[in-house]
Amino acid sequence: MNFRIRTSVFMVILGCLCTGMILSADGAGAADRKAVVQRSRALLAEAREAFAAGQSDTALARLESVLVEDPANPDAFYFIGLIKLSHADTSGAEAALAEGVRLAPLSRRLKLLLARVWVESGKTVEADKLVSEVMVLRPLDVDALYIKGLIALAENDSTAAVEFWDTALTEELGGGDL
Amino acid sequence: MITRFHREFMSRTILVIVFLSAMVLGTASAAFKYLQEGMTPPEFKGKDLITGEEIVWKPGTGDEGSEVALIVFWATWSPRSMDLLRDLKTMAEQYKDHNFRVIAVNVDGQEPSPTMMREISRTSVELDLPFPIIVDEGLKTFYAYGVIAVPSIALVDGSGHLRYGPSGYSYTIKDRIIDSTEVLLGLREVDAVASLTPVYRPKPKASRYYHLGRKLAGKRLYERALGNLDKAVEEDAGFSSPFNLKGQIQLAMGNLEEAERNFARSVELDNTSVAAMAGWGRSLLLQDRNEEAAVKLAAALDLDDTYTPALVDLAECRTREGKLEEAWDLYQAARDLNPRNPELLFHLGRFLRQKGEASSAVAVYKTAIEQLVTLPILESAPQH
Repeated sequence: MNFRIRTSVFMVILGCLCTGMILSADGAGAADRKAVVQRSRALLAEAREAFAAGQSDTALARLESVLVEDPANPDAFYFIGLIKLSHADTSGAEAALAEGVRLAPLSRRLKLLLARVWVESGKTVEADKLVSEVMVLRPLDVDALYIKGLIALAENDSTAAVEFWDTALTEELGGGDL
Repeated sequence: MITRFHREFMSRTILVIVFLSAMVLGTASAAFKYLQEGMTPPEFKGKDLITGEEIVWKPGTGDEGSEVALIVFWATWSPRSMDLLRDLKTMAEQYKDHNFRVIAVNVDGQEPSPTMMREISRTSVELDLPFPIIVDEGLKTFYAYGVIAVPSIALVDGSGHLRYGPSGYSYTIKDRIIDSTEVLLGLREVDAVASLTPVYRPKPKASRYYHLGRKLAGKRLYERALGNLDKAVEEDAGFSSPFNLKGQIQLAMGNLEEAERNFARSVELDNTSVAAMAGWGRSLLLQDRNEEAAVKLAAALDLDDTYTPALVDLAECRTREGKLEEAWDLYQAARDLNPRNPELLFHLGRFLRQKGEASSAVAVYKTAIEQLVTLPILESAPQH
């Protein structure tokens, strides 16, 4: 009896210790993750500032550091896409943005920027599919309607282009009808 | 362009007396929809683009050392802004030993992209401006002032009152800015400058209610805004701006007859208010009272022929009358002043569609929507 009680107490203590260790490991993991997120944010901010100041190389270096810390950071891929676009590197932008969309399939801005690049490289069908996905949730999204118009223009349908843009402008400016 | 337009326009209107009065009294303050001369402009803050220093501008109190401030709203895409900034640089250097301060508020776009920021920085460095440049993120200050066109200027005296607020930039405006500044700095006689004739100063409590109403209207809290504007009127029945703003709100709410009444009252109290006169015209236009609208809009343009909303609405009147050439001239005059105003381009695009000029319409629509998108604009985008 005495032995059973001792065993039970021992088991309870052991259980508590294990739970504590697991929780503490989780806590450490969460703290690590938080630190990574904070460092990534700081690096992204630095990259943004460098890019705004015309220092694209510094910006790209910061973004690469973000990806070393956090290889699945969609914001970094978005920003790399932007920088590549500013250098007219359409294929580089496309690769970065496609990776971003893969990591964050619900990201509106990644999808729209990728669609914009695809219009540029003549992939209008693919671009239209992406934009339409965004428009399911936001049918009057100005950026999406802008790209829809560009797609229509690329397909030589200027009437449709103007219709898309008229819809967007009416929505944004309100009271468009005099 | 404007002069020719103005001459043609004047030949078609019978409002010669109003025109002459406007010439004698000087150009009304038309740069700001929600401010009239004599009012206290809202404070604002932002970081100096070059030094990173936090800049806070508050209207002066009239105490010793209170500065005369010249606030300029500018954009890199506006050629007139460049001319104005160059001239302001000269002025800032010339008056550096006086209580004079210039602040340039950049209004290139709602959400300045990195590319846009680089362009703004490049321009600032190139011009080597001796005064701070604030980038108006979210265009908060732009909307708080109700800027109509770019560039626009607010010359504020040491007591914190708006003394001169023109939009656009011409030789006449340049001369008047210099004259007015020198008067405010005590370097010139007051009677030398027509624009600095006494202005209406609303009672402080009325002014406070008005500004609160303006802020609420900016957040589209229209009913609460109207409540405050009514209080402003109760405090100071001679204050015209609350009626103008009530008119603008009623327009936005679609209460056209109510809007018309408020604009009419505002003009009755201050017949130099371009915004109220143009608003009156718009309220009539939206009620399909084309002929009456044209008269009010013409009157607004007599007060200030650079007031873009009146140019656009009068163009719409002329289109309805089938006077397409005159409409085209008006649109062109407006576009010359404000080449990237999306609302103007939107109406111009519709006009071109109506005229059957499809390819021009596409180009205009494209420029209009590019002012509103948040995505980066690629220069190599398909052009048709």
